Amino acid sequence: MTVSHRAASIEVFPLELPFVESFRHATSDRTACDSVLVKLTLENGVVGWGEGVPRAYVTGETQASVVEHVTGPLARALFGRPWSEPVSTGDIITIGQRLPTVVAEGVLAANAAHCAVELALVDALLRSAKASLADVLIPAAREVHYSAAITATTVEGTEKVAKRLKLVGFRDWKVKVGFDDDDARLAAVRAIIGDEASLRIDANGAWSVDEAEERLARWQRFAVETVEEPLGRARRADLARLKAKRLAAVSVDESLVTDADATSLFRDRSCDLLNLRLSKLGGLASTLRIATTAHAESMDYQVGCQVGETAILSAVGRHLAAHLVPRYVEGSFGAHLLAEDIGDRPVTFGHRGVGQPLAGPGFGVEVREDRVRAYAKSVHTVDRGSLR
Amino acid sequence: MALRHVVEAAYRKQIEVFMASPEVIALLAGEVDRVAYDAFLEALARTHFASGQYLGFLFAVAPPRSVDRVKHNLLEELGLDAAGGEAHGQLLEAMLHGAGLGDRIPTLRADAAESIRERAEEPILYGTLREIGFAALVEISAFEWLLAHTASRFAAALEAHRGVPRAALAWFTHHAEVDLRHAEEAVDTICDYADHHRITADHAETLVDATLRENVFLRRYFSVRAAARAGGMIS
Repeated sequence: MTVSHRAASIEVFPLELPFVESFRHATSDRTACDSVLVKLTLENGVVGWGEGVPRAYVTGETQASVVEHVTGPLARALFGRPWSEPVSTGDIITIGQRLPTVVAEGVLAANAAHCAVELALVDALLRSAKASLADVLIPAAREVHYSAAITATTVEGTEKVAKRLKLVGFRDWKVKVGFDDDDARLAAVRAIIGDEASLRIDANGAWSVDEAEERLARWQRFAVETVEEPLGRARRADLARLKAKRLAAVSVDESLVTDADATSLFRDRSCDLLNLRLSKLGGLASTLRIATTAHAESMDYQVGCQVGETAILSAVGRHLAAHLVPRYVEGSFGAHLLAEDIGDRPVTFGHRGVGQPLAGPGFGVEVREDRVRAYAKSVHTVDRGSLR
Repeated sequence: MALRHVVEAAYRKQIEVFMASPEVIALLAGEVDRVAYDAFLEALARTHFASGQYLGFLFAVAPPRSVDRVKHNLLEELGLDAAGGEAHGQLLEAMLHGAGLGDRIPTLRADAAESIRERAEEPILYGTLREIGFAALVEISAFEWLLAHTASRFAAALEAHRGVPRAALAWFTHHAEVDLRHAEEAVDTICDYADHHRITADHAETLVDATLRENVFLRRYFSVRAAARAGGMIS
């Protein structure tokens, strides 16, 4: 029997949660988590939490736009109908599809806002059913192997970070590139991690196709396995040309945001690998849909993360990765990057970058609301009555 | 660079950042209110109520050349080094009573226990106990260094600006006196540990770097935000 619930209220928390150290890449330099968290309370009193990570250079969203979209059109849709407890991936996809796609000027896709609301709703509905996301996204792997990520910093700083992460024992590595000293930094990283470790680079759209070809040819000596987002959305048409050179597997990230992006990437087969990040794609439903198509199309993908995700997105990413078993996984940095995470227990990787599948109600994380409030820049409340 | 120099340089930097922070400057100058002093006293107790247990862990992994030193520190912490010795936990309680915060002791002891539970729950990053022991040794010894060099200034400020009776500040004065020696010996122990457990200089330097990424003193004695501000993460 299908059990349905109605949402009673939502609270929205745009955060400023400091990092332990800054994280820099070709388009951004971050020192704090700027996620927007959504606390959703159902009429039965059960609470669920969701998270979206606005990135102006990816989806065009800001914290302000996420707050506006969550408390406006998404809240109206949320309060406007009953929601059924999910028991299958199909149910989760249905929930995601029933929440509207917000269209706004200057925003490519309001996906972080959609993700935050969708996750809060799924978490609350699972908790109402006394179920875990692992009951729906059944783990197909006993361990999730995360990649190390090296921020763009000085050569000396890169060496320090690489040595630290080497102690953890990662097997997969990703280095941010797109700077003048890339050669020296990549040489330093390869020397530290050894020949056996897999090395990916992420240019965050810093290059033209000619620049990408020239660099990848030169960096054959570093055995770069994959180059992520070499060209950026504006130069996506050149991806096929770069892929044809076979200098490294070509992965897309910022060039995969909308359904239309996915359709054209599958149609043109202009890349080898997709970076599926929950917030960027709008949540679980859209990510699962794209992953399903990728399986059918025999296209590789990774489950990625946004820099600075809290325990909420880390937990959902863990469930997703354990279920899908993608080529690579990124995320679960938790308190290795955040000065303090907001869960009641750590959702971080351990030695070798390994994390175990999570259990427990909802996403398996109990959010510490005191910490959320401590790091919230503001709080925005909407209840069902106020929208009537 | 020799490990001793790496560790001492890292500790000096940590202390420099700590003492230059607006939180410490204001506290020492009497420019904060009673609430801030009380928060500092509570953070101090919360941090150090568990010291005996942390020293117990260090004793378990101590290298032969330093095991007697670590044992002595542990016994001193527990008040068992000499007849009539007082456990440092009791000195902290006396400090809280002296400040009129005696009713907070059960909560602060529970917080200290909770911090150990949280640490035990964290996934282990390193492959062997030797790295975990080294990281713990570096962090715990950092506090001995800090207290050896600054405890008397904090005691004076608490007496002058918060009105804590001098007798109730024995934890600071006692710590400063005994830890001057402990602080120097702590670095010996770190070097002995690396040597005994065959941790290379490069490996050890990386572990020191990883352990002291943020200002551990500001984080424990003030707040996560204070440490983040000192690290330039937030303004």
